[in-house]
Amino acid sequence: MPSSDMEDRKPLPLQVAESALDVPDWLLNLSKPPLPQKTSRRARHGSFLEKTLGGLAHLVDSALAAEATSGKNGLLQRLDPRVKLISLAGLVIVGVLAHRLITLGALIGLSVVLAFASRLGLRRLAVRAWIFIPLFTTVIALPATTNWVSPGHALLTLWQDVHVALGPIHLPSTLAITEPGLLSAAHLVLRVTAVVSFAALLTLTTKWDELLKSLRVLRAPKMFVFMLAMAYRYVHLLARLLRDMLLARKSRMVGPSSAAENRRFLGASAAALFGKSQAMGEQVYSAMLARGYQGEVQTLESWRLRWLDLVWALGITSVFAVTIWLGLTPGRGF
Amino acid sequence: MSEVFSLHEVSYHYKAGTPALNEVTLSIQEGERVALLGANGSGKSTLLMVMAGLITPTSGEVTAFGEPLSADYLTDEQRAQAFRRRVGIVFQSSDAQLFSPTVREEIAFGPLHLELPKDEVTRRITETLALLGLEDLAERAPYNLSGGEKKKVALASVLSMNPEVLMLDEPTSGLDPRTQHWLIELLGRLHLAHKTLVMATHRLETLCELADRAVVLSEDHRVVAVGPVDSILADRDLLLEVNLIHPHSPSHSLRAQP
Repeated sequence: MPSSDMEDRKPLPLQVAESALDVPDWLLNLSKPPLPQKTSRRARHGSFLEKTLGGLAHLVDSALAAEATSGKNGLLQRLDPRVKLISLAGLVIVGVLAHRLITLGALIGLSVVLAFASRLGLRRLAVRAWIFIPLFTTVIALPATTNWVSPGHALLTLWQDVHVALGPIHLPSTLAITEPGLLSAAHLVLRVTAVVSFAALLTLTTKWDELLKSLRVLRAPKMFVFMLAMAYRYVHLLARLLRDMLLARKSRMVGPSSAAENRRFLGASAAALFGKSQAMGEQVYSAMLARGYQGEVQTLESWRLRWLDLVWALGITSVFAVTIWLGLTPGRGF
Repeated sequence: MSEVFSLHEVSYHYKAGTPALNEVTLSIQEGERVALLGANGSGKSTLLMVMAGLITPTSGEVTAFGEPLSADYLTDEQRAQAFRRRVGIVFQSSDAQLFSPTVREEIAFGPLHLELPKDEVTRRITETLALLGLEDLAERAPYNLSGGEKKKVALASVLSMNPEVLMLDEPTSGLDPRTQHWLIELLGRLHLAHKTLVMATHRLETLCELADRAVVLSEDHRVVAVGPVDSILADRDLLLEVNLIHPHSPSHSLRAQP
């Protein structure tokens, strides 16, 4: 260190200058490895560290976004949470029981109308309900579209008179997409889309504590509701904790880490998180007990049914009645 | 003295739009002891994270050791390695910093990644444990320790890498008076060894002993004052404005203890 710099420095408190602190020599050694000037190896994009950090940030962001949308002044947000829970659960049941594509299409249409009426916008609903889950369902339903699973009128022949085997599985020599197969796959994908849309509408327009309280009103077991409440709280607490742990690791990562090191880190951090979450869980529960918690979620909202709830309930009941009537009428079905 | 960090109109917003830093312009020289002062939520920790290259600012420019510290810069493996070797950060939450199964492994994590020889790693572990008085805790799980012990292990885990720049987020919080005094002594010795120390804090009692220069952040996340610690602490109106003291706070508590 240049002596001129030392002379410029403000004198340290006496006790520091005279300290008997036994600081190792290497710690007082000022190492300055040069920063490479030219770009060398690119860091592996999408490393597990970056991916996990991104996923955690997304989880926290989506929770914040759901908090924001549930506070908007839209149709579903203004409904009594109990009425909303029962009615949307009813629509989910209709979606599960419906057998006609037009009914399923109408239910998806209804979810779009409700999204607009609740000021959510189509994009938010699409991101939550229409991309990953229907896409995943489509992949699962793909074999069912072929004559291998659903024999019938062939719409598109994929191959003919060819012997294809996937390991021990032998595919038919002629493989075609059939009409009944396509119809059953379409039913499955549309049904899943409709059901997930209503579930997404419920979670996007209802505050979490209101949803839990509604579940209790509907006589859901106390322990079940309590576990849901704690799980939701801890998912976010632990997500933040894990994000900070990963950032701390990133700050001490000098070289690239091997797969074995990553596995070791995952194991160690899982154990650390388990220990921390157990300790945190006990503390939080004690704090809740100390403030009078007896297993019942209490919120400030005092709910009272209003005209809007009654009109909504009447409208939804009509939808149920029409679909059930269509289902009961011979030759129609819904 | 050469410049270690330079920030020009740096802003950081969380994805939901909440601001954490607002057009921060700042320069930190080699060998300096700088305190980032501000009330809770003013953006001190975020500023440390930006300088440590752990998060990328939404706008503005950050330069570290004369090189632009962009997201692209740190995607270069060798540059990232060299940067992490030179800059160490001790987080505010020790719980977040500790992820290894034992204290010994926690301290070894950094030196092992520096690819130091095994003997050197062992020496550093032993000497760091001795320096911080952690020998008896070496085989314990870090998450089972007391708050003060965790803080010491977190500090040890960074010191064992011997960084040229040491960043500390609320360094004295959660420490008993004896350990606080010990830490001040240690930081004083590192300062004499020409290390650059950057600390985020809202505690003014120990400021004179910890830093020479202070950067004051307001509650709207802007830098509102930069100057010697003595003159910042003497500006009562400024401290009131940024919510670092209360109108009833006694002035004498801010001065350095003899």
